Amino acid sequence: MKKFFALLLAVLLIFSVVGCSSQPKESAPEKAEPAATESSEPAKASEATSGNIPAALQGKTIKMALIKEWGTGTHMITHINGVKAEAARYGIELSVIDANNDLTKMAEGIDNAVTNKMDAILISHGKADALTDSVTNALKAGIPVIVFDNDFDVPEEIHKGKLVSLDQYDLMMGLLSQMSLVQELDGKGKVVYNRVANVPPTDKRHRIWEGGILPTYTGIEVINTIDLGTDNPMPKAQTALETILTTTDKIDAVYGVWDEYAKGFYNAIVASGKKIPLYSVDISDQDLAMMQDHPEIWRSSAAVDPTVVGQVQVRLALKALAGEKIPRYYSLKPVLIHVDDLPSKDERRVTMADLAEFYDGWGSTTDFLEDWMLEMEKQQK
Amino acid sequence: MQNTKQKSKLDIYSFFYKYGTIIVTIVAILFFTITLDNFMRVDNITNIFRSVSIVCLIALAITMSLTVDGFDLSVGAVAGFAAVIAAKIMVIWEMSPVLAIVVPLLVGILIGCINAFLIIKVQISDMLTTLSMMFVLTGVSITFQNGTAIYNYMPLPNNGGIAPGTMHPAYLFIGQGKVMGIPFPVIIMLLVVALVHIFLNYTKYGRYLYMVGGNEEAAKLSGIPTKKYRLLAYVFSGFIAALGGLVLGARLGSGEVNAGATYLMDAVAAAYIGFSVLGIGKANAIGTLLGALLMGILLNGLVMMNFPYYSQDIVKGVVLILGLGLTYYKRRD
Repeated sequence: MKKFFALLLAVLLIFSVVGCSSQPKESAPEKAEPAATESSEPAKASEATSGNIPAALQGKTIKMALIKEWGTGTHMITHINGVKAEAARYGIELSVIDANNDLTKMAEGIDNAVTNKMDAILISHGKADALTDSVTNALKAGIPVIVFDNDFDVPEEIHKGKLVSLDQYDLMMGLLSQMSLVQELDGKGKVVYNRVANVPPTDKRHRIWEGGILPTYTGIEVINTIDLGTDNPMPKAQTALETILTTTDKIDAVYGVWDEYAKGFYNAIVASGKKIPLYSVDISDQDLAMMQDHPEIWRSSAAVDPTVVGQVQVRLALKALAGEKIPRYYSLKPVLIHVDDLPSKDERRVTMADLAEFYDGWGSTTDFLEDWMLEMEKQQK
Repeated sequence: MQNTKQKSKLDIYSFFYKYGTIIVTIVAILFFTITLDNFMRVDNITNIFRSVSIVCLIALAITMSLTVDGFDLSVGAVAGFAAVIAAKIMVIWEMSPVLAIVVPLLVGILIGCINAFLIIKVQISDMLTTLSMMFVLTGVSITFQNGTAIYNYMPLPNNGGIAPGTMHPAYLFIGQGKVMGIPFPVIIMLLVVALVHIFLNYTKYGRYLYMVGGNEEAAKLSGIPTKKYRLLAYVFSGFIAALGGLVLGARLGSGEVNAGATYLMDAVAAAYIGFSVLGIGKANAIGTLLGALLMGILLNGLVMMNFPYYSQDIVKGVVLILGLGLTYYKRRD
């Protein structure tokens, strides 16, 4: 029996390795072919310009692994697509690992990336305690680690400037969204609050609420706090708020610290027939559709475009590989998306891609975009 | 003397064996009624029933597989898949809500057939078959729309504009509608409970199912086509799970990826509580309903008491142990 399992494991391992590597390989020849068949002139031209590309990146295929704690939900999909698009731009081979909320699987993903000699590792979320060992090993092997929405306490002599903690400026997003609530309530009212404890980004948002908003605006009263974890919270959030709505008579506002919760809250408020305003953090196409359907309910959400997160992650990794200096911490600029800024649903439906029309810095960024990256991009064509 | 003492002791055990879970439920209700002002309100009770309707349907699907001594772990994934299919039919393919209801149910039946085939013909154990099926379906429903949820006015990939269709009101009624003040999902749930109860207890097929589950060899020797009955159980399981998925999708108003997974464990617990209610000792519909209600009551009360989710889980687990402990303690001797 043991032998059978060992065999099964071995087969599975082989398949997973083949599965990871086969996809990019398929696409690589396609890209190489047109370059070879084209007339020799453009080829020469690209050779001439390749001089500016850092030596460490020349003439090799860069491999990166994106390891995510969870890969479902519109927001996370947008992030993955952002990373994929940015990697494709520079011809980087990217493998995406969705750990499905399993931290051991995440740690294994990082370990495997080290064994498979990935050039850089991109991480999204996860818990520091479970992953610090794996991340330390990766850094010791000289692999840059660009982390989104998490931070690792690794000493300078180990990370050697190749570790970046990137966030969406959660402190600022908390402030923007919570001030939006305070403003529209005139600083006074009963609020159903939502927090997700022990998750770095939502913890940061909560710190602002606890340490900034509540002591300053003492008229705000929290009548219930909903916390249902990170595993598929939408249906649970809906049921929880329905319970509170049926048993509490006066609620002035609902706060969603994360839009997956806010979606459930929105459904519960709409079903109750009440007009309770909802304020949240993060945005997706689905959220925008809901906001436009009931502008009197979902008022605003503070957010950073997850596409931009992906772009910056890939660029920082490239800069690290090129040996350029990168920051240890970086926060992306959030905007407050307010339903009053958007056209009505009868006028037109707004999607994430359209938000650039209404807010500066949405959709794409030039942060960390170097000239030599543009040249790498040219070589791909 | 010794004899009578033994007898009264046994009586207490058999009393707990029959009523253990019911007592725990009543204690929970009393506790919440005393501590919370608004617990015993008609609208909150309606709310509890509505909140358990999905868990209860999925638990009934498990109950069907338990009758033949099988086990169906894929029910949560079937429900999630059904919700995604229904959303895709209406939002992306712009087809009628009738199809959005019929097709997912047919898919549920089909999955039941595949499960049964693998278990009966290929003879993979029920747990492993349905576990694999769960993985497959979860994966398929995630890739079905490239990992995003399916919802009204969603932008289509490759700049395809806004999705043409919307979730039809008739479909949404399944999850959000009310008939004479009673939420429609509650009506569906009670109807299915009644049907399953009648089917299992008052028809030849139901009794044969229990016989197959009780002792397959004996059932076979007495001329019951046991394989057919096991197939029947898994087909019903897939069908009821898909029905639960329709209610789920209509309640959320969108095809959420992987939304069914949340309900699996609660449903398993509900079905097993059902085992013990009234000392029946086998899977049954009324018991499953009670089990689902116990879970729903706990969740409702704890949310009102402002418990964070991890402590909710602790309380849920402890209450389960208490209820089942009271029931099974007798079996020690």
